[in-house]
Amino acid sequence: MNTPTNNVVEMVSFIRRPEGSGATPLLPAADQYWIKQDRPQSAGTLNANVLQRLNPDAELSKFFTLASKAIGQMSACEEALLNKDPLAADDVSMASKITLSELLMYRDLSDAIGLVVFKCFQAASAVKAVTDAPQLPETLKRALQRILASPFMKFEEACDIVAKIEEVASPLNLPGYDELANELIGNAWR
Amino acid sequence: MALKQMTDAFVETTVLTDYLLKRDGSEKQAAAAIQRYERGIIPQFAWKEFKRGPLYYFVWAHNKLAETKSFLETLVALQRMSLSPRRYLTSTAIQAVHSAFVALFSPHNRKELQQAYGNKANPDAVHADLMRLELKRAIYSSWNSRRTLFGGPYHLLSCYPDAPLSEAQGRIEIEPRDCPKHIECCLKAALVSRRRDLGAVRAALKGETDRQEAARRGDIIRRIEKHPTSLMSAEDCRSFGNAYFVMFCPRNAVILTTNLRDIEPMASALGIGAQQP
Repeated sequence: MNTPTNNVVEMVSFIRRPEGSGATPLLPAADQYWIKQDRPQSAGTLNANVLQRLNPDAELSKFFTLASKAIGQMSACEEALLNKDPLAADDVSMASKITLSELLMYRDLSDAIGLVVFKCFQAASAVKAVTDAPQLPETLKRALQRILASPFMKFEEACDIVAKIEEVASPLNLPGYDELANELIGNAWR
Repeated sequence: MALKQMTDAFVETTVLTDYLLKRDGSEKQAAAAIQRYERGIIPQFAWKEFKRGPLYYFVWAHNKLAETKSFLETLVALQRMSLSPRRYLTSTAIQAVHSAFVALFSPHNRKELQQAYGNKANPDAVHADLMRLELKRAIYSSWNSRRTLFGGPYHLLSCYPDAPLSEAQGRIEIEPRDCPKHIECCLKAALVSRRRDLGAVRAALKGETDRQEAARRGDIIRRIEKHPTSLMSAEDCRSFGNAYFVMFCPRNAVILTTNLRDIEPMASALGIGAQQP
């Protein structure tokens, strides 16, 4: 049931705990190569901005449900690839695109969510057959796990996650970027 | 000029801009050009110009996308700007760009998404949001790299207030973009001590006096030569512009620029090499 109290309780579970408290839901240290260690984390801080975003429809909890589904699909895809079952892997990959496209509808929750989900969707859409980029499911799974653990992470941290995705699935050009950049910078600057 | 002996690349603002903001292959050309030298040198002056010009244009587009929530409306707004003679996209080109987006981001379940999420699933709104995020990424990644890129900025300017970007109500705030008004430019003392070089640079500009930018640059150089005690303001420093890269190019360095037309005559006057990526 979606009540304001439930929403706050849901958010509290995402407050980042001190390192070594034993209760943090973060990935093992070896898997946290996404994070720049020299940068303080603001992830999951419960503040007025977060509370403002909690509406009666509990958008955040819908996002979590969908993101968890996408992570499950990435895991299933990885497993199928490991089991040398490319058809099953590709089938799950196609299904994950639908989940990712729906996740994009939650891009207003935070710019970090928007950017990471957008690049996951773009990377997944750019692959014709999952066997062309066998590392992609694991990369996308890790990216989604990070955004699930810290939905309100610093934007710069999301940029680092996205850079990792582009290492595996480059280039990911957004239609219109070059045209807009040329229009903005233009020859007047030259 | 034996360019082969040069070990360093003195990166001018146009090449820095290509390296940081372009994705059409210019960024790779810029990177390759810098890597041909042992060291890339980016003066803080280039960062200052970058923030005042290209980065500011990107921030403007980001804020316009945030306001309109429409990619098409933002491009129309951009076309109505007549600040400078930019290349204008035609309506057909705009539509072609948007169609390419719709083709790429056309999920099978678009109809269902539009029923469930309304305008959030509208292709124009999605395109606007994704473009805004892509611009925001380029803006933050480029500006945050200024302290570390190629070993950090060279030749710090004591009058320039280097400041991080900030955000308020969905907008990116970029101020301050320039040095404070009515204070003496920190470059002036060094320029006054090199009047002979200034004279050579000014002489190289003589053939360009039909161009307002070059004429203004020549006037400022003449003022520094003839009236060394007069104020060199932030505005004068901006107009001095490309002459900075010629006057302050380190020994063993060649100027990397896409603007050879402006820079090469001045550089040649001082025996400095200038190259295009």
